[in-house]
Amino acid sequence: MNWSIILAGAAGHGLNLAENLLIKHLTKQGYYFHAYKDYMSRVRGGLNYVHITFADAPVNTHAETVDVLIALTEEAALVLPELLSKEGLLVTDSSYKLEPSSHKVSTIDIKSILSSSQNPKGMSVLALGLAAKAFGISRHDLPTLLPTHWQDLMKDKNLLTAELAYDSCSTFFKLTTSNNKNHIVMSGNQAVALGAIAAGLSFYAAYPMAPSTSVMNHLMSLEKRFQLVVEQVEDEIAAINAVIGATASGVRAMTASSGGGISLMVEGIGLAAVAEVPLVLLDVQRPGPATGMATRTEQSDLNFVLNASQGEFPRMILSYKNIEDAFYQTFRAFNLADKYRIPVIMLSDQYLADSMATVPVFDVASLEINRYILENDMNPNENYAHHSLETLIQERAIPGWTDRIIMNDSHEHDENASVTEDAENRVVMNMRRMKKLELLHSEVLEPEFIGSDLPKTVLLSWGSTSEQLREAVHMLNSANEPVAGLLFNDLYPLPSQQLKHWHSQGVKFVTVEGNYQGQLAQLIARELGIWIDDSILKFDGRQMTPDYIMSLYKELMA
Amino acid sequence: MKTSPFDNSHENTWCPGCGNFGIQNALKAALEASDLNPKDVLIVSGIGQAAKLPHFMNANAFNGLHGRALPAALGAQVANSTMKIIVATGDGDALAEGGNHLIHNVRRNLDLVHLLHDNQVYGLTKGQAAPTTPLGQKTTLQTSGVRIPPLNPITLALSVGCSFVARGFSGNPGHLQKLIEAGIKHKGYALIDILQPCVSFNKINTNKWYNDHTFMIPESHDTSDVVKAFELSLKWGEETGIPLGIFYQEERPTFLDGFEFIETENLSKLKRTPQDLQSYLKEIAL
Repeated sequence: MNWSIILAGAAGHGLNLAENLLIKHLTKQGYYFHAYKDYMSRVRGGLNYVHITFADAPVNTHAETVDVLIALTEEAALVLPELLSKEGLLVTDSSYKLEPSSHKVSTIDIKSILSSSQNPKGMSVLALGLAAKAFGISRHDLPTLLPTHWQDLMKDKNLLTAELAYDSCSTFFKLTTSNNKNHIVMSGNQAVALGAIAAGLSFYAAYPMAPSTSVMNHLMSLEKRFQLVVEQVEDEIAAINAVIGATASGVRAMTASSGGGISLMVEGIGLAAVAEVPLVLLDVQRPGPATGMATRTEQSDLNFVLNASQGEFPRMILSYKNIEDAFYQTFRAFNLADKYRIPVIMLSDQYLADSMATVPVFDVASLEINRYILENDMNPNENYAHHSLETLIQERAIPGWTDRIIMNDSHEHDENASVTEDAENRVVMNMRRMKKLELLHSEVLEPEFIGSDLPKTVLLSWGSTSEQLREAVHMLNSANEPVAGLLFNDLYPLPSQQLKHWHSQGVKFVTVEGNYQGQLAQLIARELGIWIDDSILKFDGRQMTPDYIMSLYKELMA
Repeated sequence: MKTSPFDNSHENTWCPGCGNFGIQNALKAALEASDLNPKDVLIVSGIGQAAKLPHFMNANAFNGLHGRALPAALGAQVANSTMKIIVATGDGDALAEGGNHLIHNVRRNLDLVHLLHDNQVYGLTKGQAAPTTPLGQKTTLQTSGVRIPPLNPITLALSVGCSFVARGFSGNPGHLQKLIEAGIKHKGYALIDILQPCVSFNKINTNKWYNDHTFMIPESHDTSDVVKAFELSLKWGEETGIPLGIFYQEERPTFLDGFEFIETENLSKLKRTPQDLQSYLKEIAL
């Protein structure tokens, strides 16, 4: 069973605070939740909303329709009721003009509540009071919903606002207590930050760019606790080069940006590859090209990161399905980058980055860091080649750790990283690097298979679209449609066993992607020669939904 | 010929007579005089004739991308601040492609010595103008003369708060060695603008031209006076002569001084495990 609410207003209303306080309360009551932000790229005004879905079981995606809409601006009250379920409740100001509709409406007087409580900036606690009433939270519990660190005076004023709002609204549903235990509240970007810390991160360099910025905010907030160096550098070019310089000198380091920043970092991807310095890079995708839409979502950078940087070199590309996955995949990326000394590029997107959900506490006890670093290199006379011709997987020496002199070089170089244009050496070194792709085939995760055991159609997704597809496949199976899903984490090198298997069974393949071109379909055709029959695509800057997938699937089958 | 622990056997591809030889010899001598061993030194460079320097000597090195020596040096310093970092860049590497990084890493006051090989022309790409080429000077590309005035690295460095600013000349390796030694001693960003001839592409700013136009900054100059340093930095050319020596030096916190919570000078050796996260996860669990 799940319920959902939208808190809608303008930038500057403090809806994030209301969201966080409500979520904290619901989680304490034992509910799972998933929260998604829809916000405009501005500091004040506009239409922003948070969409919270809560349930008595884990949720990885937002509900299609909402039960309660709290609209704190006229624009929100006009635009958003289309998202309400049939029985849904609209809570809004009595002075706003509304479109005629059959929804239940509970009207309040925002101005009067804020002025009676002498709290002109109290919009966020007002929203909190309304939400509390709509979901039948006891009036006695209101003080416990407010932040504990607020001073008495501030607390009293805000409590009054919340109470006045509470009293002016009607109840939609009465919550009971659920029983989830040992969970954490986590956003996609926060999970990335924690995954990197679990992997032993020492250095994070980045330039702010939505929707990647909060990875840096989370890391900065933990800088002292975990002895991290988090640096806002002058540009993304500096970020990637600093991270490579740090990794060459022995720490684990990482950078992230969105497509525009990754565009600037492109030269560094090739540098890491040729110097064979491990690189972990995150692209939190937003709609491009150029500035695109800063606070919206898309999955259109797959082709870009597959080809970013000149020349030929091995790389690995993986994506996150959901918030929990973002933690474990980020952790895994560091081990892979170190083992193969390659760029590992992770794809997230605005939807996943900004979503928050209740997830099980990460199981760090099961994780192990593998650095592939030459730790006990006491005899400098022993043979060591920085780019060994004998073995691809080797322990890497770090400058200064021993008496050995170590060079890392961006040119074509010999096994000791000395620059050379020798033809024979070029072939040998190029093959050394490219052969890593073959080894990576044994590392890639096959896509997760879901749905009917005897499918006629197999739907393929990657990244955050996978959770929408999971839900859609479930609904289609319930309606007796013979469909299955393959949900991809790893994209390159392309895991091929499941694809080849289902291809041999003669199923119809349809990719489900948040882009225009069907970039996964293109990749599969290129890598395996398997032609994808159709694609369900969305590129309006908003996340795919299960209903959207279902309706396009039905159109395709008609 | 005198040998140095910093010598190596790599074929040197600089042109005979290149100013880089004098700079490299001065660097080796300064490192030795500072009691540094090759294993304690990390030379970080970008791309250009100057940036080949680490290939031609025995020390740890990171030879990265054009313009990007300084970001790589930032990362390397974070990873292990016990290494003495020498950055070797040309005028294009430091001032054109890498201009933004120069400004901001000087602000950070990284603890390193930056050798800015300044021959006022591009060598590797065969003779185009550098940011330091004089207005009107003809080059292989700017055949009617350079159309925009040159950038003064000394004035620029002073204006963004560089904590050690000096100028040397490849034709006076003894003096240059002393400047590099002073830079190595200095805790913070030591920028040394090094005048050098380009025997292949710059027929105007020759060894003789530099000898005729440079003068030593008098001992009476107060290196703690930034206004005087600015004034002195503006001297250039036939009329005023070109000052050599230390323009300015001050002690101010380095980048890593801002991380008092990091308990080691060598972060790369800090033992970390995934289980470090356990107690934090317990705190945030609901």
